[in-house]
Amino acid sequence: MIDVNAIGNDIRDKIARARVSIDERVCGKIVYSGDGVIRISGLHDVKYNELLEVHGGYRALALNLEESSVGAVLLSGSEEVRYGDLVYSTGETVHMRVGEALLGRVVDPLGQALDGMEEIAAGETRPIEFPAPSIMDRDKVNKPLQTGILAIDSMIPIGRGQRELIIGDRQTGKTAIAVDTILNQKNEDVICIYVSIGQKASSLAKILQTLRNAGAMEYTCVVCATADDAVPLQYIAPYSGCALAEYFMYKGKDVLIVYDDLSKHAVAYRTMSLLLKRPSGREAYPGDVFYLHSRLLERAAKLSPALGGGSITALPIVETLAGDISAYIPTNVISITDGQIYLESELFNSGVRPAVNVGLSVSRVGGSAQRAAIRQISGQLRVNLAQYRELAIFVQFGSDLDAETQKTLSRGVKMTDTLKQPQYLNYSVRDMIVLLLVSESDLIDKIPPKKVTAYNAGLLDYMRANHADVFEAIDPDKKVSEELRQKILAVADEYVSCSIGDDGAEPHVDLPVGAAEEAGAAAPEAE
Amino acid sequence: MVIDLIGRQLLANPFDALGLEWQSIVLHLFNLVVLTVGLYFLLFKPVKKMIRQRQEKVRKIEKDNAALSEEVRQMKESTEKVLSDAKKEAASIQENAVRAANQKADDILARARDQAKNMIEQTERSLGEEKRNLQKEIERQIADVSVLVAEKVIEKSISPEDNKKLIEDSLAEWNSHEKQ
Amino acid sequence: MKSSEKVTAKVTLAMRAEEDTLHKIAEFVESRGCNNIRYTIDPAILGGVIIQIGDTIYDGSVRTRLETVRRSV
Repeated sequence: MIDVNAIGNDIRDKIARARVSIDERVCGKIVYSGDGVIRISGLHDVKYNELLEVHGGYRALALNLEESSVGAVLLSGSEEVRYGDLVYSTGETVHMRVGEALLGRVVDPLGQALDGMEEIAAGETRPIEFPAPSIMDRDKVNKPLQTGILAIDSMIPIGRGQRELIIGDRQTGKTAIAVDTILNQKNEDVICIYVSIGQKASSLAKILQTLRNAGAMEYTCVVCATADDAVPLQYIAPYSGCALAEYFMYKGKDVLIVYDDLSKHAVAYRTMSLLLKRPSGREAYPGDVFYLHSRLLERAAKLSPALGGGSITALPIVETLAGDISAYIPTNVISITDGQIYLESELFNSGVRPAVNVGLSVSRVGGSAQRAAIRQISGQLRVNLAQYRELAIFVQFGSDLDAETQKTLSRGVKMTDTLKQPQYLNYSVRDMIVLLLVSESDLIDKIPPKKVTAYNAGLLDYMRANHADVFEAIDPDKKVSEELRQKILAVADEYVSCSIGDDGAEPHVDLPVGAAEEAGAAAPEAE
Repeated sequence: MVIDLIGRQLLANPFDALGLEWQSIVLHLFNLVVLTVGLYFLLFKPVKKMIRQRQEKVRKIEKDNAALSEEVRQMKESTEKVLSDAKKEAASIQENAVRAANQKADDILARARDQAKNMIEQTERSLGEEKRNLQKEIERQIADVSVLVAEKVIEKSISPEDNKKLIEDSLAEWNSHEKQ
Repeated sequence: MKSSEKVTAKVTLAMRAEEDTLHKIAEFVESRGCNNIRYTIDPAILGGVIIQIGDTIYDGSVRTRLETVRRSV
């Protein structure tokens, strides 16, 4: 099973390749080591963010340069390093391994494989800290990044090169949105990078399983620093991921990068800063915590055609406590990003999933990148939903409603139902166009409120199986013509009659009893 | 005899024989005319009218009946048509549904197959990796042991001459670095 | 490092060395702007020499070479 000869040859090979040079090296001595932080005397010409090599092959990152000593954080070996050990400077910054070989892999923030597969062939590397593209290097965001989630693509569209924050309490489906978006990039020629910062290894394993099963790992790289990894690794993880993303962006590719999540990243940075005895500010975060995230997110860009026209779309995730988006980190990141998707636990618990709060979610640049057909249809959607929400709150106080209000309410309920979407079920653009058209037409009144979800699911299957010509005729980049609209509605009507039949015409339960009877009594007279 | 006499009298003068006078006959006739006219106007006309109305009503009912039966016929016809249409539609819907279901089943099957393939690949890869890890661990152990042996040997066998040569080599190399 | 200051070079050897070797070491150290030498004998480095001048370390010990080889495997 194990080839003994191979082992021998391998060792011989490696020894032959070993560099036995007698270096002259700049070194210092550790005068303090604790909590993963070391203090080094000597090393006078070390530079900020320089990678240090500690005796025994461990790595550290120089962060505090003082007159008599250097403060550094250990990337590895915090248990082995002790007082008196020598530390050598390397003259390098931290580099991340980059290249196509990383797709489909799970790596740590230095590019080492973590997924138990073969070693990644040594290729190019990139410094993890890199200046963001300048103003002249950038282009307008003009291409949509389809998330496959109806509520987002219709109302909070994301463009390639945009930074859209996903914010919400724990357990509101933040990661689910990000994962769904990654899954939806299949066959879209978008490279995805999922950076997991301080997450539980178990939840990460679940996400990996999902990505693998859906075949999404072919175009995805997972950079992870789980909760048990050294704090400095958690700190550099997003920058490493970004370096990998930049590699692809400067090759002209479109990249989607998910930072899950930046609040843990800020916490990791706070830990480091406190241990390095830097002065702390609000919520004990150091003074440069804003810069921490702004320099990361500024690297997301849409490059000008002269530079290949690649892009990095960033989806940072931030967790709030009890829906408090005015806390330090959330406000910081909100102000850096080009919009946010706000998820609410109340909505989530009442079954609206994805639990997007349409009122508080915005996209500042994605609108111009939206597909023409979707833009045409979804224009009214946000207004209608806002109206419904307002009415729904108002109606809680009384029950006497006129017919118009009834209609708005029932349509609102159905619209909300249409926007509900199970996880891992992404809609194509055509699906979205059909669903939006139907939900905005009068046809929706024929469908009983409890059956909207089932109807929608069935309609798409029905259409694909039996009216593929109509379905294929939809061009997402053109406005939907009146003729096509009628055709789609005709198909939908056909499906209403065969899936729901006549019971859809009955007045539904939402009406007060009296009104229902009146309506029932009035009907025969009219005949 | 008497009969004969009466007969003769009747024949000779019928009015006289019956004790009638022509005036009374005229009067009677007149009376009759008046009665007839009066009755005609008083009774016959309304009755006739009534009969006409009846007739009309009957005719209308008949017409209605005809229309109704026509309607019934039409309804029956249309019901049959609807029924056959519905049957046709049901058939097509079923066909469509079957087609949709088949497609869905194919999708699910394909996905399951993919997953199975993925799992197998994953397992194969992790097996390979396990082997590699084991190999690496063996190499590391060998290297450790070799170095230990080397240390022991060198400790005992390094001569002052060797040491001198080592030091001088190092110094020469560092000096050459400096000159560069 | 200012040349007027007294700079000490730490020289670590595995065993006592001959006079001319020491002389060569002194020469080398002086060429690096050093005017004082402190010798240490440490058998653990097995052979060769380690010279430390200020922050710079020149490591020519057998032990370090062995370590390097071992780590590269």
